[in-house]
Amino acid sequence: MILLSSFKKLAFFTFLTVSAIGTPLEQHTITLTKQLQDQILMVGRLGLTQILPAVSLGSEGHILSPKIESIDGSDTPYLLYRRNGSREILETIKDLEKRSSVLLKLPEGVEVTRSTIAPAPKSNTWFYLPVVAPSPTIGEKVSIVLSRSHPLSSSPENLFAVKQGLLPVGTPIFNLEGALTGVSMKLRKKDGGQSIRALDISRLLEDFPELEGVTISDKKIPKFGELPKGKQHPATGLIINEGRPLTNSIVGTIIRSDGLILTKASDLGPDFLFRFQGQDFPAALLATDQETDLALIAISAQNLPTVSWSDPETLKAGSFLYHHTLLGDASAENSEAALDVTSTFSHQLPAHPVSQHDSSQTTSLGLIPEQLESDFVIAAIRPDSPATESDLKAGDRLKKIDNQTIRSRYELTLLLTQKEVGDVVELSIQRGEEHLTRKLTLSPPPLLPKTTGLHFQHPQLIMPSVYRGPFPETLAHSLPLSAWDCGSPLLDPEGHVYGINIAAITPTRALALPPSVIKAAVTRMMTSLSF
Amino acid sequence: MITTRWIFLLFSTLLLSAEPLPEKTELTAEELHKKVTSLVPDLVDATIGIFMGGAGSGSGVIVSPDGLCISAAHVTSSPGNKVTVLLSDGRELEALTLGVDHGTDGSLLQITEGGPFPYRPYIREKNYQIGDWVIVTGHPGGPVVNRPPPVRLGQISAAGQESGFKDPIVTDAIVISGDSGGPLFNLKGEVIGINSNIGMPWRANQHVPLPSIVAKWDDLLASKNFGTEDNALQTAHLYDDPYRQLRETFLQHLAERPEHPLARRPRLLSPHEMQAYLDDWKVDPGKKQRPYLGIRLSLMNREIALISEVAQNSPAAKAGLKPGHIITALNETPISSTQSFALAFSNHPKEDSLTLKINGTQTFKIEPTSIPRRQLFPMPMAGLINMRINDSATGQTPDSVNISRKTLIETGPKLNESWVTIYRGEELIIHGTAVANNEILTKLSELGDLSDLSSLSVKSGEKESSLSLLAKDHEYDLALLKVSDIELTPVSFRLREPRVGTLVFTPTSGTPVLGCMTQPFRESPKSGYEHAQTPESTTGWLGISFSPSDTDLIIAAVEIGSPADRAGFLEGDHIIQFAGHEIETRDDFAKKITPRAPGEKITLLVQRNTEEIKLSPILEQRPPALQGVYLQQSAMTDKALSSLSQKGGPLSKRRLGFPFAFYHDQIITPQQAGSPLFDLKGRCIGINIARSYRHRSLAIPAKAIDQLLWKLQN
Repeated sequence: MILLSSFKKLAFFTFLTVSAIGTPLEQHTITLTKQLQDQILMVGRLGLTQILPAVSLGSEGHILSPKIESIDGSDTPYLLYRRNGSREILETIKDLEKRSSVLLKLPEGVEVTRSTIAPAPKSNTWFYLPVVAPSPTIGEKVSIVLSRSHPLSSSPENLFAVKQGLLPVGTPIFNLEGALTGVSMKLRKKDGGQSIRALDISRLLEDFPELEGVTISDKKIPKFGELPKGKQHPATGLIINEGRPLTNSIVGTIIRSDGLILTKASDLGPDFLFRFQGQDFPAALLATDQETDLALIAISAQNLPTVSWSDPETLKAGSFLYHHTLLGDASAENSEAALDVTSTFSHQLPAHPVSQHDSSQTTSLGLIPEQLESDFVIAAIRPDSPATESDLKAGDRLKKIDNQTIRSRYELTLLLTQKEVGDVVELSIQRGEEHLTRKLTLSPPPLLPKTTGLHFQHPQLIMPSVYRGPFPETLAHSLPLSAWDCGSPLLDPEGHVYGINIAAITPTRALALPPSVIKAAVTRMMTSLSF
Repeated sequence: MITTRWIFLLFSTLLLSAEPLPEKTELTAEELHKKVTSLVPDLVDATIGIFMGGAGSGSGVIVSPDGLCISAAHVTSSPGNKVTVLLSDGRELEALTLGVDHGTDGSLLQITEGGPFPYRPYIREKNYQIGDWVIVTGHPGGPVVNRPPPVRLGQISAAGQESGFKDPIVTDAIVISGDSGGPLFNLKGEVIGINSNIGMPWRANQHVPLPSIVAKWDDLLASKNFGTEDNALQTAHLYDDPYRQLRETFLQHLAERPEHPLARRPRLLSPHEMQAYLDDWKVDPGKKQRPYLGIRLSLMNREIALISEVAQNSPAAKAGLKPGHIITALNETPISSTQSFALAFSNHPKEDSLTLKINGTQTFKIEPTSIPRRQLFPMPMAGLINMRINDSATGQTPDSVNISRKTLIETGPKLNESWVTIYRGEELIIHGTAVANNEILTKLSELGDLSDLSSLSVKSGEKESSLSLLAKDHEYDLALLKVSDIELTPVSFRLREPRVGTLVFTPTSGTPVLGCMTQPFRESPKSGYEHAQTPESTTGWLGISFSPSDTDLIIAAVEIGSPADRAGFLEGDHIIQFAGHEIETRDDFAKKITPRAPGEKITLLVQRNTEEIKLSPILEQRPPALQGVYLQQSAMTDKALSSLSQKGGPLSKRRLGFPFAFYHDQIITPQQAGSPLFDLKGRCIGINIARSYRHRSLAIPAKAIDQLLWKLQN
């Protein structure tokens, strides 16, 4: 245990080192998460931003991927997203009409760990579900979510119910040993939610005989006991936005015993009170911090419990996390554990993540370019841009801009960043065999934060936060938080606090600010209180 | 006659433009009571429950004698679906869904057999305003055996006119899952809205304004589908709208400043930054203001409020304040820290001048100026899925709503000597009702350890007394206590069952107002609900399944969290006996288990390896596979409903399972159980016993109390 910091002023920021004991299932999950992150491929389709998880099976280099609808029904190729940000075209081997999966060919020279397959057990079991972030950054790996599922006994098709739901149809599902054991189905209201179909190996081989040589795993699935239940952290309370009958509540985390509390600034109503252990306290806003969307509020109290921070560096991908929704009078009896899931830590995100689909930050051509090998192909024209007035078309290859050959998206970005809105550039285009030149006026880029435009495929089980970014460094995890859970501490089942939850995004993704970022924000806020 | 009055109303609303509450005659409590109780039977008759196959249930209202009904888009989902509707007389009939409008959340459907039907008229134009009384019906929690749709009373707190999501009618007539699609009536009995969604606070109930459905009437009759079936896509943009709107506003104003660096080289700005620019450019000066002094305080020292900076030319600078000054008082309030200054300052009326005492001795008078209150997005958006809270429809405060209700309450009789409060030390535990000069009834389970009643004290007004236990009843959760040192006035009971819709109130302080009786007296089941389902699901749920490819009695799967799981059944167990009888086939097993209801304990003998083990699970209600929070989700369990309810306020611990109960919608706190429930004539019609759900409080009816007292006192 690190000794209390000698800085009295910031004495509430002590770190406790944590020894990673955890339960056996947690240890197993951490190991499997690493393994699965290597096994799972990220696949998309030309012209679309959606990226889904896929697996490589068999010795011939085949990829079994969820089917992605093409942008206009045409035969555009699937793409493999690499860790370094590049993409490769994949050859489609088989695309059967009634199936939710397609068979693609792994390109030559790409080395990837093959997955094994296994039949799903017949009773209650755990699954690992791969989830790709809504707008993944370059190099970001797939997140692995652990889900406990039970068979839908009323159905003859060997279906399991999964509560997280909302997986894109055709997502590959893995058993506790990391073998492919099922595939996600379309949401059927009849079953009351989303289901996973346990892999029917004979049917898979019937549809895709190319997978003949795939390894069928017969590893015995280990059994794990009951998981420990976490508890509500004592240094938390509800912030009730009062005076308006229609507003929400959010959570406040106490950081100083005389009543300093942190919460999410953008969801704070103009008038609010703090409810702690069944008692209501009048509260006032001291300061907000723009960068982190944190707010510091004050109540009049003594000897309140406070949080002690644990170092998020000790968290590994797959570490278990825990959350308690505060209800009603914010007492311990009245809080509700999160859904029957086991949520895990995913990874740390840097301050200005560059997403796979980043285009220029300062100016825009109004086109959606796709880089293939060394060429740029126009995949689509942005409907609200000046480019619609030109006669540029999807499929045109972009060769040069202002006589400069562009070889990569980074070069494109660099060039566009050096220009200003309103500048005119000359594009050299190749259309089929023809070479054309066109002039385009640069427009401002759309510039909505990365997590807007969420693809909701199905009704959500959570309410996302309105302000979902941009943030400085954050911790991404899979707790199914809703907007009203923000401001709460990020906990593990043992009660260690690794940060403050700051945005709920999807049922399998939420963001938290790490203590280092919180510390900096608090320092800024404490020294800038103005009235 | 009626037409003239209707036109008059319309005319008067046109004249009044944006003013909230115009002149209107207040209803007396008695008039309101008369109107509500006389309307209720017709409103209930026209309310239907809708079963959407396996996809949930909701409610609707019949608006024509041939069976045309209005409901919510998220209940009926899409045109052309065959569904079953439940009438309040118990008939189940076929119906066909017509058009749906996911943008506003309204839809139509047509009953296709039977008729003519009881129906209600509906409004074509907005004729309601903030403060208007409304009655809501529906099937909360899903249709229930032997229960007509409960009625609830409320007032309009936002008079929206366009959609269930963006511009709804907001009332405090409390609805919950299952009420979706059900009607909102005005005091004329006209349908003015359709229940759409809720926010967490119990007072946040949103309804689709009828005019927005009427606007698309012909298209809906023609089965048009506005918006996709997957209406989550519809709501996805709702989460992005605040960004887009803020950004559009920002870009508009940026466009007026073409030389601004951001115009030539834009970059991604956070919403806070965009708002800061808009504030600097003084956009929207009508926005709420806050007082500005121009001082900076430090939080580093806990014990003082130390001014670290004074802004140039600020009100504080003009008043003579300097860095280093320590604030010791704001007006009359002593200040001991930065926090206490912040709290005191936030209570300060916005425009007034204030006096700061510095270092205990000097006094400075400051005239604050005002600056825009930084509010990032027009409103915080948390709520439940597909349910959105939006008060941008009105900038109104709800005070106007509370005034009407307060007036009504003050005309009620004062009956303060017939109820008491019970404390443990300083803590209020529960209330009690006087049933004799020195005897009270209170909620048994809240008293704690009955052998230690000396730690409790009874208070009535200024007087205090100790208490002792005379008798108790666990079924009704009531205790009869003797109060030695206070002379009480016993309540006078009204034993006859009142009519549904009767106005009720609980005369304890701090209670928010009136409620009404929501449904006839009946048992409150232990499980919370008995659902109207097809016969197979009135069977208790065990949670095991057999292999589909076999005929044996070997358990193939045990559902997690099921009664079988908890009783200790394991995969592979071979069932050999049921309640002592040998069973050979699955048919035998089915025959024996089907008549067993939820709550019953059964005993099975299983063979596990070489042992024979006896297991006794207690059957339960089959839970829905997905704990959704849609208003149309059917067959909601107590767990789902109570968890939903708790997000808005506390529920009682023992809140279900009373042999005979009075259902009402007045919001009471768990500590208010034990207090008497009065009608407008001051007669005690029940004793509050629990806050059960968001939309339901329970009292024990006077009739049952009377019989119970006879038993307890003898």
